[in-house]
Amino acid sequence: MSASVFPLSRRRQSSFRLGTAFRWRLVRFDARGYKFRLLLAFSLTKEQYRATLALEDERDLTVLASCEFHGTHPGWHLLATCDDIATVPAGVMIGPWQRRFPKARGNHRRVDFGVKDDVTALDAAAKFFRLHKAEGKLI
Amino acid sequence: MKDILCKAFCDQLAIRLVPAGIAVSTAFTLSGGEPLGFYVVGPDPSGRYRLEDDGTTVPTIEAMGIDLETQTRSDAIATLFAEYGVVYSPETGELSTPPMAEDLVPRRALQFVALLLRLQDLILLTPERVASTFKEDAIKAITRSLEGHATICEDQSPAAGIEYAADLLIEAPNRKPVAIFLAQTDQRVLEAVVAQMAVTYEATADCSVIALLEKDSSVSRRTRLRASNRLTAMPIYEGDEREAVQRVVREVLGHRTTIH
Repeated sequence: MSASVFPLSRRRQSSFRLGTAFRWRLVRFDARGYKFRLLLAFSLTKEQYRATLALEDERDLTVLASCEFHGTHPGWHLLATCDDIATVPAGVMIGPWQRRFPKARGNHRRVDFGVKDDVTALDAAAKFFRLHKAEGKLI
Repeated sequence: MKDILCKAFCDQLAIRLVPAGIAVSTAFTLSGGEPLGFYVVGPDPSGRYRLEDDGTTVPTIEAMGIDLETQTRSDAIATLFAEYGVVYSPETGELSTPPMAEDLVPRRALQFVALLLRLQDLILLTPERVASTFKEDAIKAITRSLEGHATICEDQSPAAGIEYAADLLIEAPNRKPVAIFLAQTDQRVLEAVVAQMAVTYEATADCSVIALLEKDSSVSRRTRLRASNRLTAMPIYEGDEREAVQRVVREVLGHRTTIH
């Protein structure tokens, strides 16, 4: 994965770059006048998955939410902030403003990984972030 | 007591089978609330196992702005990895141990977890992480306030021959340039003072120099005294962000200008 896929901060030249342990795909889209990047990455062998949504401007990515699954402690969950988006620091991948839903040691409604290939990996993100139009195509 | 401690360490230890091998969740928790976990991968054809992380530890450290390719950090990290007998693969992004016999796995697993916890501290304590939000936020606020009114360059020296680059060098038509030093430490404020002195006494180009402090307590009283008497201005950002930015705007565009 090159640095240009998920460039968190152009000024600090920091980016989130996964290695080949993950298969990944980047979805870029516009909505309500804003640009977004959605990074999908998964490992079938370790049952790891993340779909990380970020707001994009000319300088930074602001990470808004991340839908994840970890093979070490199964359960689909979301990392996001409860506060206004404007309060989320730009250019940072993780921070104390993020909350985990549900809590890590709490009850998770879905504990089956379910991702089998590229199609099901994309489907998981598309369902959660509602990427599909009514007619079934990506926005 | 031993039984109680064993219970505390082990009660939340959980394992499950995944295609790579065994996924292990521990009682330790990462800063985001996630349990710390690792994988026992194998056995390979010779019956040996490796311990691996999930492949996000080092990418997350690098995403925090810590460049592991700089010599100092590279050496420090390499020393840390060697201490715990772990290698990092830049290709896969994974941390892993060399293959080992099954009976060595438990002891090595404790070491591997210790390493992951130390790396977690590195993520939390890095100065870049602390610095990032203030600088990013301030630059964004200043840029927005002056959009269309001035030219803004980042990391530029106020004038030729001046050693310390300002975080922002702002030029508005028919106004002298303004160099902004975003300061969280005494050292950065003193760099602004040196730049101001150099502009005043050595450089031919005129320029205002402002040190924008992150917070009231960012610098010592002595440094504040020196800087206050030498710099064009030294506004404080935290707690009064709007006025701090407006102070910069006034210096750039003139005293009667207010931009919303």
